[in-house]
Amino acid sequence: MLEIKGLHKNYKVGRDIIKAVDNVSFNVEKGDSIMIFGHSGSGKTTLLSIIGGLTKPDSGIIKYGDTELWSLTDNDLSGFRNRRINFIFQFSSLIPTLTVLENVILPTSFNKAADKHRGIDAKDLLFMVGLQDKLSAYPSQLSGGQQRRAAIARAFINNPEIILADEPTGDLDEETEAEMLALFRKMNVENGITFLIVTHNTDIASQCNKHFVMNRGILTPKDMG
Amino acid sequence: MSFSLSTLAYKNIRRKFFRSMAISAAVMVVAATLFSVTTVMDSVETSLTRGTRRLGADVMVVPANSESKAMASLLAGEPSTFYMDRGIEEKIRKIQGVKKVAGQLYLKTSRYKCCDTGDMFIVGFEPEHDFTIAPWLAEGLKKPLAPKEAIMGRSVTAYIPGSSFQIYSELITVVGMLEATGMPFIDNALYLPIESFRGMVETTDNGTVNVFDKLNNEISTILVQTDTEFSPRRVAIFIESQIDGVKAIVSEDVAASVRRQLFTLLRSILSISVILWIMSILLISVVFSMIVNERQRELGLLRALGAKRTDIFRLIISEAAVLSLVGGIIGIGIGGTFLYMFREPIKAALNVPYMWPRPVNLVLLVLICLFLSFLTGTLAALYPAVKSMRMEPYAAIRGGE
Repeated sequence: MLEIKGLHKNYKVGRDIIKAVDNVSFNVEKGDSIMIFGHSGSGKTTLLSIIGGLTKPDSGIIKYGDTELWSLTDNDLSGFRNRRINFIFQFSSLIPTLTVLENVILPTSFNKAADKHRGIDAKDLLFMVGLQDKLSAYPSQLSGGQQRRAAIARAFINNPEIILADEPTGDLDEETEAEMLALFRKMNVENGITFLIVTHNTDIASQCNKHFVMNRGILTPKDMG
Repeated sequence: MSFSLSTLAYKNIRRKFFRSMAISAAVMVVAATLFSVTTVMDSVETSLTRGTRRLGADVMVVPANSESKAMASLLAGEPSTFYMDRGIEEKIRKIQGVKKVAGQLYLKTSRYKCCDTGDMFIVGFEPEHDFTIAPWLAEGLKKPLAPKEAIMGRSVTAYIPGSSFQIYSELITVVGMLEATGMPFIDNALYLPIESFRGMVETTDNGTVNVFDKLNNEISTILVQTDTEFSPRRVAIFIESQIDGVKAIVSEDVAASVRRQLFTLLRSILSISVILWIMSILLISVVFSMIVNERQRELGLLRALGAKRTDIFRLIISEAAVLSLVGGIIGIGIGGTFLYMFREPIKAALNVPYMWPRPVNLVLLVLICLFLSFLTGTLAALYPAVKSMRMEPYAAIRGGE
């Protein structure tokens, strides 16, 4: 489903060159649930952004099926992100002027031609994350955990093939974290959505079938045996 | 449930209401100024064009020492009287380049002295020669104007067609009305055949006196229409060189002199408005740069969720366009209300013919000002919008962190 080969991404900080992603290669199969561990600054978020088409690598190849991601035009790349990939960011990623419901349906507004029935109903998603009574609330009226749950609901709206999640349970209490991980599992098993999760949280490891560690831009497989 | 970028733009405008209103207010000031100045300029131009056309004369001949009085009457509508020998009319008729000649006799009335008209400017004209008044009757007369019948200018509010008024011993009936010209001289006067003056007598302690005996052989102004092959200026030179004691005023020169005086002033105001406009564009551009910097992460998120570069561009430009249009509409409304409410002080201050522009011109001015308002916001937001749309989504998201 997803083939990643020889990815490199460097940043220049003053006179120093930081290797954020250093020769990363791995394959993802449909339905995989992959976890990437790593310390802060190890390059996990940059790697996720490259795979999600948010930032261009210096070199390397990312192929979704037959589509080479970075050979797409900017418009096609936007459409690709909208239809096939979705993100859960580590920060509050709701648009403050929109209600919870509007935030969840926001991705559908960028692709008018798309089949509206392809995705999951926004209200059902908000019910799944326990925000059915917050449809008209604005992000400022929600707690950090509720905002995170709304962002998780949004990630499923277009029924994407892959979800790239950056510390998806960071703001959640243990109980809600368990509920969200259960939702991920359900979406993974029932809808065949592939997950690529970047986290410090080792609790997530048990529900992932592949594990990697990232250190100074280098990705290595990890046996969780 | 559907959702569009317009909804997001609308909600963004509402989010920082005070800032949004401040942007609109900047456009509003520019729109109000531009609309007021251009409307006044167009009004004056319309009035001058209609007024000189209405006057129908290419050249006005007045007594040599009465040029300023004549100009004051013509432009500001100040009733004034001046007279010259009526025989001049025949002499002018014979001058090369003269096509038509019609005399007019001016009279000032006073409520306390003679008449029940109040302080009114009365113009006696010669129906048999007239080419300036009868053709412009708003309510067409089916027969020539008889003695003791009058036509009134559009701004005379004391009478309606069919009503009568007393001048000295004569009862005059109003039978028609002229179209509005914006020239106070024309709009505020009553017009009647010169023959109506003949029988007017004034009753004094010493008996009755025929008021116009002394004016029987005099005239105030001689209006001249020139042949097409002679320019009015040339004919005016012929007249002044062949007849002593007269001044030939070329109608075009009257309009040109007003345009010169007034448009210098208005052009200065217009230049200030243009400077104001450019400053508004710069100011709004700075504010929009701040707005997009503030919302960098949000814009990056939109891109991550599938927004195209053009969506981001449209979002920012539409916010700017809406704010500008709102400012423009309010500004034009304020400018129009200001012009309407203060039309009399404006007329008095400018001391020139003034009337509302024709509806077509007014609509055009409104559209131009609206377009300029729209342009203000869109031009101002152009750079921030282009900058935002070019930003890499990840860089935008991180930049906002």
